[in-house]
Amino acid sequence: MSMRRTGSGGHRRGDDPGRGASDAIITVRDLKVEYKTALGKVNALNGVSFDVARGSVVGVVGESGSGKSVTARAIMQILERAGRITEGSIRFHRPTGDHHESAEDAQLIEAATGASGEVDITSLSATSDTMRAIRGSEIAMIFQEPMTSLNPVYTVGSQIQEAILLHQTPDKKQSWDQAVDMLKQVGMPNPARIASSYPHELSGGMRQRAMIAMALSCHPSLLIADEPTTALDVTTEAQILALMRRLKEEIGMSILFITHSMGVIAQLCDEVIVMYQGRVVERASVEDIFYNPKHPYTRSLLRSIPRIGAAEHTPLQVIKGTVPDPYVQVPGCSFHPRCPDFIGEVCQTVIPPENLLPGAERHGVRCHLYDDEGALVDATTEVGR
Amino acid sequence: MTETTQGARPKRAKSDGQRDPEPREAAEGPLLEVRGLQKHFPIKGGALRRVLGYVKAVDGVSLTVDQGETVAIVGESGCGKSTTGRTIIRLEEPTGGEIIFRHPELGPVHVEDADTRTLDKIRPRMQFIFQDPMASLDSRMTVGRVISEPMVINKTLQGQALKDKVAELLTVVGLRPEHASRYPHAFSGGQRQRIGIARALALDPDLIICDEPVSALDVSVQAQVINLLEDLQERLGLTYLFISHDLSVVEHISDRVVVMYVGRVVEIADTKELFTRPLHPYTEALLGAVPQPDPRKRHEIQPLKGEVPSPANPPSGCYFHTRCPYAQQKCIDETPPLREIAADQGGSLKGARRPRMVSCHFAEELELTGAVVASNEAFLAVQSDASDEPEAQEPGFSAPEEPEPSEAEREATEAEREAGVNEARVTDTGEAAEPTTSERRATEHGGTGAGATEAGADVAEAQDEVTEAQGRGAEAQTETADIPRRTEDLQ
Repeated sequence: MSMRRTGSGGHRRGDDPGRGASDAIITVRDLKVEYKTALGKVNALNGVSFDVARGSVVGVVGESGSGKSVTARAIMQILERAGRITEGSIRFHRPTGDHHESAEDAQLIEAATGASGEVDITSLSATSDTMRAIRGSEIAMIFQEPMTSLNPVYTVGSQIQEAILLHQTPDKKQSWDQAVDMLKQVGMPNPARIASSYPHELSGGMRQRAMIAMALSCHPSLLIADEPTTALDVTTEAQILALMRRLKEEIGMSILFITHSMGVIAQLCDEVIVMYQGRVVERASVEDIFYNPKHPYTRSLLRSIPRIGAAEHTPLQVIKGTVPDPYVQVPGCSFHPRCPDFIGEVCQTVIPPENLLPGAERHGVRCHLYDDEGALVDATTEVGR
Repeated sequence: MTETTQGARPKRAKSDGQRDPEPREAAEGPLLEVRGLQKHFPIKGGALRRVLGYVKAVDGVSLTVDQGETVAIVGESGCGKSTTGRTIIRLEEPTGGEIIFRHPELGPVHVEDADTRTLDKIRPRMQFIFQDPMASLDSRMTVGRVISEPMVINKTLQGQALKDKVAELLTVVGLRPEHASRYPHAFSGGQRQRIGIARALALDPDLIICDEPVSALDVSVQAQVINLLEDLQERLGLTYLFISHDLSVVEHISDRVVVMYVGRVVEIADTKELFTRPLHPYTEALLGAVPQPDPRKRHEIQPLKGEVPSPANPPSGCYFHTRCPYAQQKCIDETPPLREIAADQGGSLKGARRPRMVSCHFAEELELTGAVVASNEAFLAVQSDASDEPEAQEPGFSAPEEPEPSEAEREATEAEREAGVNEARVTDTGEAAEPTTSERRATEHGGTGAGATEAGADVAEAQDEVTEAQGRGAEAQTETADIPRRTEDLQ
C-alpha cells in the first residue's frame, strides 16, 4: 500500500489552495502545565505558544528541564499522574481528505471537531474515547529509549500490528501485512524476519526504526519525536535523520522534533523553538536561528557547542551557572541570572513578552533587548544582511 | 605493530613547582604504550556453562600516549573503546598484549602482569573519570570523603593536611571548600562531574583516563567541564586518554585521535589531519555523519549502510568491508595491518607528533573527504551581533559577580535549602568566560576544504598553524599566571 496521502506524487496536503487561512496542524497557545510533588509545585510549562505548520519539521531545542518533553506529552495527553494542564489550549486541525482510521474513530473525532474544524485537545479527558481515537492514529509519538518503549515479550511485528488493529482494520492478516510493509518503508532489511523477532534481538538503530514504523503505521498527520536519536551512535543517527527527511518528503507529514542537539536541529528542521525554563524564548526559521540568533540564550548555546574546524584549544564560551532549580521560581526573565546581556532591573522583574521582529519570516523572541528600540536596532542589521 | 618514539614532543611545558616538589627526570619515551592489547570475554552457555566462544571486545590495540598530550579514542558503541580504557588501568584483566606505563620512580613498568604491590604503586599515577556522575559517586559519602578516600587509602595525607587538600581540590575544580560536607545528591550533574574530577586529581596522577566524561551533561554545562579539563591540563601538566563518541568534542580537546572499529584500531593520526584528510573509509563515514550545527551544511555523504558487526562473530578480512563503499575482494580475504603511511603518500605532515597509521589496503589510493566544517558565518553571526552591543556584552562576561537582587534571591534559596524545604540543587559557582577571539577563528577557519587538489595549500596552512600554535603556547603560559586570580574570583 502506498504511503502517499495525496494523489499527486510528493505534493503536500498543506499546499491545497482551497484551504482556509490557518495552515497549522497544531496550535498551542499559552500552555501551562504544573506538577505537584512532595517538595512542592513545579511549573513545568509557563505559557508555551507555537504552531506546527503542515508538512514542516519543527524542532524544539533546550536543555534538560526546559519543558521540551512535557510539551510533547501534553499534546498527546500522556502527562504523568502528577502533571496537569492548568491553562492554555492545544488545538488540533484535522486535515480533510483521505483518512485511514476506522469509521468508529473518525466518527468520534468528527463529533469533537468544532465549527472551525479544530479539535480542542485540552478540553478532552486524557482517558476519553475521542482522545484515544486521536492518539496513535492522528498524532503519534516516538520516544527516546527504544529499548524501554518496546515491549520485550511481544514480537516487533505484533506491536506494530496492535496499533493497526486498534485504529484501522480488524483483519489480522491484512494488519500483519501492513506491519511488514511499514518495516520495509523505514528501510529494514528483511522486514518479514524482523517482524517476527523480539526487540532484544535488534540493535539500537533497528529498534528505533521499529518505533518509527509503529508510529507511522496509522499514517498520523503529526509525528512527535522525543529525542529519537539521542541514545544512538552518530552513524545510526545519520541514518535515522535521512529516513525522517525521506518520510517527510514522501508523506508530507508534519513532525515536532525534540532534541538537545543543535546539530540535529540544523540538519533536519524547518523551524525552531528554543525553550528555557518552560517558556519559548525564541521561535524562528532554522536559517534565522543559526545565522541571526537573537535571544542571549540561543546565542550562548550556539557559542558553547564545540565546532569542528574551530581553532584548536581555544576555550569554549560557557553559559555561567546551571539550569535553575525547578522548585525555585525565577522572577522576571528566567534566564537573567545566567544572561551575558543582562540589562538591569527590567530583566529581574518583568517577564519579557514575545517581540516579533520585522522581516519576511516569523521571528519571535522573548527578551527585553528587543522591547521597542530593539526592533529598530534589528531593522538596521536586517538591512545589512 | 607499534609506533616509534621519534618525533615525540611534549605539548605543553609542565608548569614547574605546581605539583611535585622534586624535579622529575627528563621525560623519555612515551608515558603509556599499549601493544597488541586483547580483551576477550567468554560467552558461556548450555547446562554446564561451557565456553561457546569469545567476544573479542579488544583485539590487538596498539597506541602510544606521550607526556602532556591528549589522545582520544573514538568509535561507535561496542567498538571496545571503554574496555580498552578499563583494561589499561586493569579494571579488566587483559587477555593478551602489553601495557607499558612510565612510572616516575620505577621507570617503564609492565602493567599487564604487575603484581598487587606494583599495581598499588602504579594506580595512583593513573586515575579514571567515569561517564555517569550520578552513578560514580557513593551517595552515602560526603563529597569530602569521596575526594579524600584515595588519599586515605594510599596514606598520603592525614588530619588537617588532608582537609586542606580537599578544600584545595574543590577550589581547583571550581567548587567551594564548604561543599565538602554535603552529599552528592545536592549537586547538579555538572557539579558532580567536577567532584569526580577532583577525586581523580587527589593523588596528583600523571595520566587520567576520561571515559565519556561529558556525554551525560547538558550542552551548556558540557562546555564548562571541557574548559575545566583543558585548564587543569595546562596547569598541572596532565596527560589525558579521552574516550568519547562525540567527534566535535574530540576535535576540540585532543591532540591525536585513535579510531576504533569492532575491537581494532583502524586509524591513528593527529587531530587536525584526521579531520581534514581521513585515510580510512570508516573515519570518513564517521566524520560525514556528525550533524553540523549549520542548516546550510546538511549531510552530503550517504549515511553508512547496515550495522556494526558483532565482535563475537566478526566478518573476515577487514572488519569494515561489509559496510565499506570502496571494498574489494582483497578486503574480504586479507586483514589489513595497522601500518605507517609515508609522508609523500598522504602520511603525516611535517611537525606531526607521531607517524600516521592506518589499517586499510587502499589508504594511498583512496581520496576521502574530511569533516564538513560548519560555515564560518554561522559563528560570526553570533560574534558580530555581540560586538554591535559592547555595553550589553561586556559586563556579563568580564564580571562574574551576580547582580544584586539575584544575589539576594540566591541567599533566599540557600535559606530554603537549609530549612530542608529544598534539597535539590546548589546554584553553581559559574565560570566567567573571556570572549574568544573571533578574528583568529575567522582566519583559521577560512578554507579547510579537504581534497587532493587543495592538499598543497593545506600543507602550507598547516605549517602556518604550527608556528601559530607555538606562539599560542607562550600565550598560554601568561594565562596560567592569571588562573589563581580567577579561582579566587570564583569563591
